[in-house]
Amino acid sequence: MVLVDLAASKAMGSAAVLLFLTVLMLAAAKRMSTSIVAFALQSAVLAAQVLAVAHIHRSTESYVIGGLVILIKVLGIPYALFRLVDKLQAPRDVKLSLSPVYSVFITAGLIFLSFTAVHTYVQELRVSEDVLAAAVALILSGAFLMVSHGKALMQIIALLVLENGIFLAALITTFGMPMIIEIGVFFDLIMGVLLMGVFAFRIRDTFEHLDVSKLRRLRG
Amino acid sequence: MQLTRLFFDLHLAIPVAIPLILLPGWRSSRYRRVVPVLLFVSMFLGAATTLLSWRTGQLPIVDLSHLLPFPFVLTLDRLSSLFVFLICAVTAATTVFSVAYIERHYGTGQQAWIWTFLPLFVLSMVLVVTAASAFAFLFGWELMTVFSAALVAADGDSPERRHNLLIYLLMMHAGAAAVAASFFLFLPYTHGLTFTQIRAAGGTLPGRTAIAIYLLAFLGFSTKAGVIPLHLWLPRTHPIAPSPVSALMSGVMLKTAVYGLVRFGFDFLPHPAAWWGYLVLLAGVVSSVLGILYALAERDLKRLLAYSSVENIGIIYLGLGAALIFQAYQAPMWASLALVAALAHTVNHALFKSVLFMGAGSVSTTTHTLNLDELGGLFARMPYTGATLLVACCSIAGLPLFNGFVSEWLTFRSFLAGATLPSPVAQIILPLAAGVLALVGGLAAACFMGLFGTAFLGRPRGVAAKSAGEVPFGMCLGTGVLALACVAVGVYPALLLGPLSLVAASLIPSGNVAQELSLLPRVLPILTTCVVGILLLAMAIPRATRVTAIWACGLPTLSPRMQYTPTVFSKPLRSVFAAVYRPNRKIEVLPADQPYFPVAVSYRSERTTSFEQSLYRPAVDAIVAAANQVRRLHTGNVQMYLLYIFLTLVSLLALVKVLR
Repeated sequence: MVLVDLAASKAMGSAAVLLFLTVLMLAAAKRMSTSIVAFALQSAVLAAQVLAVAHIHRSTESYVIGGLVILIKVLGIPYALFRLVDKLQAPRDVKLSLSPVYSVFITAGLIFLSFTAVHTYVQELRVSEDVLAAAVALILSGAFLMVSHGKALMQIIALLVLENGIFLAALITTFGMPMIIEIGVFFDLIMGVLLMGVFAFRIRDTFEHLDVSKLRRLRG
Repeated sequence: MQLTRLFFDLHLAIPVAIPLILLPGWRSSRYRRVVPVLLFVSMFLGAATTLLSWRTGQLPIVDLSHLLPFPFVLTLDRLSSLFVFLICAVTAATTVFSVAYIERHYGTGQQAWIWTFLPLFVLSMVLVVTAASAFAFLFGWELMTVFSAALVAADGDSPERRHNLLIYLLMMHAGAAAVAASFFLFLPYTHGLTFTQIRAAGGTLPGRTAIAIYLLAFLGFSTKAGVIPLHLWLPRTHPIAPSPVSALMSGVMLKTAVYGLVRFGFDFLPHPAAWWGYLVLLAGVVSSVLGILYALAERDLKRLLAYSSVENIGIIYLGLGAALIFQAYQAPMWASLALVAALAHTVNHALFKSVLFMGAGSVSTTTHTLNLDELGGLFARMPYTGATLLVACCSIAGLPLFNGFVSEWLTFRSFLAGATLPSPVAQIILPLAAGVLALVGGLAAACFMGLFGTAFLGRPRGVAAKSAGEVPFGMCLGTGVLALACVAVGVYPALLLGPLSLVAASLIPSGNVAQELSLLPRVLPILTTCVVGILLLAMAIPRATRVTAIWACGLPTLSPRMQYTPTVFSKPLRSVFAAVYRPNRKIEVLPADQPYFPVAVSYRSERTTSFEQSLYRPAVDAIVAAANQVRRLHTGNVQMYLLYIFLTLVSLLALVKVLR
C-alpha cells in the first residue's frame, strides 16, 4: 500500500514535466506514427494523474474515469488512428508548415507563456502551479499543432491534445468533475473522432489527398 | 372636448380602415370611388380637430400605451396643430386633384395600390407630428418612409427606378437611425421617453450629451429635409413619383423634418449654443444657393421643382438658424420673429410647391411630357392650370401680394435685426445671410420666370404641347384652392401670422412679436387695393389697337424654333455661376467635314459637378478599398483561420498578463 501511495504522489509531482515532454515530442514529430504514440503517452500520463487523484481522495468515480481514459484515449483512439493511417494509405510524414526546430522553440515559448499566464490565478485556485500551466500549455500547443500541420489526420490529433488540456484543467481546478459530465465529454470525443475520420475519408476521396491547405479551392 | 376627441379618433381611424375596405373589392371600381371621399372626410375632421382644440385650448390625447409594449401617446399642442392642419389642408386639395389624375394615368391594380397607400402615408405623417412619445414618433417616421416608397413604386419598374428607390430607402433609414439615437441619448436622464419626460430632462442635460443629441437630430432631420449634401435622394425620388404623391412628399413630408428640428431645438433642448444656429444657417445657405442654381439648369419640370424644394428648405433653415442664434444670445423677441418666419415659409412652401407639382401633373396629363424643351404656349390651351401655376410661380419667387413674399420679408427682417446682437460675429454673419437670401430670391424669380415663360408662353415647341387641352374640373379645383390660399395669405397675412405667433409664443414664452408682425397685415391690404385699383383703371381706359404682321427677321413666318429655349434663358446666369456647374460643353456640326454648310448643329452643356461624384463616390470607394484589404485576410486556407484564432488566444493571454 505504501508503494501505491508513493507512486500516486510521484505521479502527481512529475505529471507536469512528463506532459511537457509529450508536447515537445508532438511538436518535433515528423511521422504520423510518432505523433500517435506521443498522444497515447500523453493520455497515459493523464490517466495516471486521474488515478492518483482517485487514490488520494478515495473516490470511486475517479477510478472509473481513469479507467475510461485508459480505455478510450490510451488504447481506443490511438488504435483507431493507426487503422485510419493504414486505411487511408496516406504518406506517413506529417507535413509540417515550418521546420521541427522552430516548432519546438515555439512550443517552448508557449509553455513559458502558459506559466506566466496562470501565475496570477494559482493563488486564488490553490492548485499546483506547474500542473495548471501544463493544462494551459496543452491547450495552446494543441491549437499550435493545428496551425502548423497540414494533414487532416494531424489536426485530429491536435484537437485531441487540446481536449486533453481542457480535461486536465477541469480535473485539477474542480478536483474531479461529476461522473455524468465526464461521460458526456468522452461521448463527445468519440463522436468527434468518428466524424473527423469520416471527413478525412471524404477529403481524401474528393481531393485525392489529405492536405487541408489545398482546400482553398473551396473559397468563394 | 368630447367632440374634439371624437373628431381626432375618426381622423386617425379612417385611413387605417380604408385598406380594409379596399381589400375585398380590390378589382371593383365602386369601392375605390369611396376612398377619396373617406380620405377627404378624414382630412376635414383632422382640420376641424385642430381648429376646435385651438379655439378651446384643450388637447385631445390618444393613449395606446396599454396595448403596446412602449408608451404610445398622441396629442395636439400648438406646434402639432399647425402641422396637422397643414397636412390636412394640402392632402384634402391633393385628394380632389388625385381623383381625376389617378383615373387617367393608372390601370386598375395601380389605382387600388395608390388609394391603399395614400391614406396610410398621410396617416404616418400625422402620427409623426402628433406623437407625444419617442416610440410613436419613430414608428410614424419609419412608416412614412415605407409608405412613401410604396407610393413611388406605384409608377412602374425599371432598374434605374429601383436604384433611385434604394438610395431613398437607404438614406431615410440612415436618417431614422440618427433620429432614434438622438432620442435614446435622453434615456440615462429620464425614466421614459414620453415627450413630457424628455422635456423635463432637456434642461438638465450635461453639455456634451446635449450637443450629441442635437447633432444627431440635425443629421437625421436634415436627411429627411434633403439639405445639401444630404439631398441625394430628393431629385431622384420626387420626379419618379406620381404627381400628387410628389406634391405631398415635397409639400408636406419634407416639413416633418422642420417639425422635428423645431421640436428638438426649441422644445426639448431649451439652451441652444450659438454655433448650433450657425450650423443650421450654414446648411441653409448651402442648400438654398446650390439648390436654386441646380434648379436653374434643369430642363425636366419635376426635377426642377425637386431642386427648388431643396432651395426652399434652405430658406426655412435660414430662418431656423437665425432663431437659434437669437435664442442663444437671449434675444427672445427676434428669436420668435425668426421662428415665425421659418414656420411661415414652411406653410407657404407647402401651399405653392403642392400647386406646382400638381400643375406639373396636369401638364403631363395632357402633353405626356415634362421636358421643358417640348412645351410652350400652354397658357392659351389650359388657362386655369396656367393661372394657378402663375400664382404659384409668383409666390415661390417671393413677389409682393403673394405668400412667398410674407415669409421671406420676415426672414429678412430678422436677419437685419442681427445687427443689434452683442456679438460681433453675429453682427456680421446675420446681415450677410440677408444678402444670400436676396441672391436666392433673385435666382428663384429668374428660375420660375423661365419655367412659366418656356412652358406656358410663346408657341408650342412640340406636337404634344400643340394638342394640349384643359384638364378635368377636379384637377383644376385641387390646384385652384391652394393657389387661392397663396393669394389670400399674400394679401391678408394676418390669416397666417396670427396663429404662427401663438405657436412661437408656446415655444419661446418671453418673445412678444405682435409689434413686428403687425406691419405687414396693415400694409399689404392697402397695397393690394392700390394695385388692383390701378389695374382696373388701366383696363378701363380705352387704348388704340393696331393689327399687323410681326416682323420675322425677313423670314416668311415666325416659327417656334425662333423662341428662347429654357437652356438659352438660363444661359447668362449659368455663365456667371460657371464655377458651380463646371459645364462640359459640346458643339457638334453635321456633316463634320463641311463646317460652313452645316445640316444640323447640336449643342450640349452638362453640369459636371455633383455631390455624388465629389463626396459620396470617394467615400464608397474608400469603403470598398478597405473591404478589399480585409478580404486579403480571407485566404481560404484553414490553417490560416486557425492561426488567427490561435494568435487571438495567445495575445489575449499576454494582454491579461500585461494588464494584471
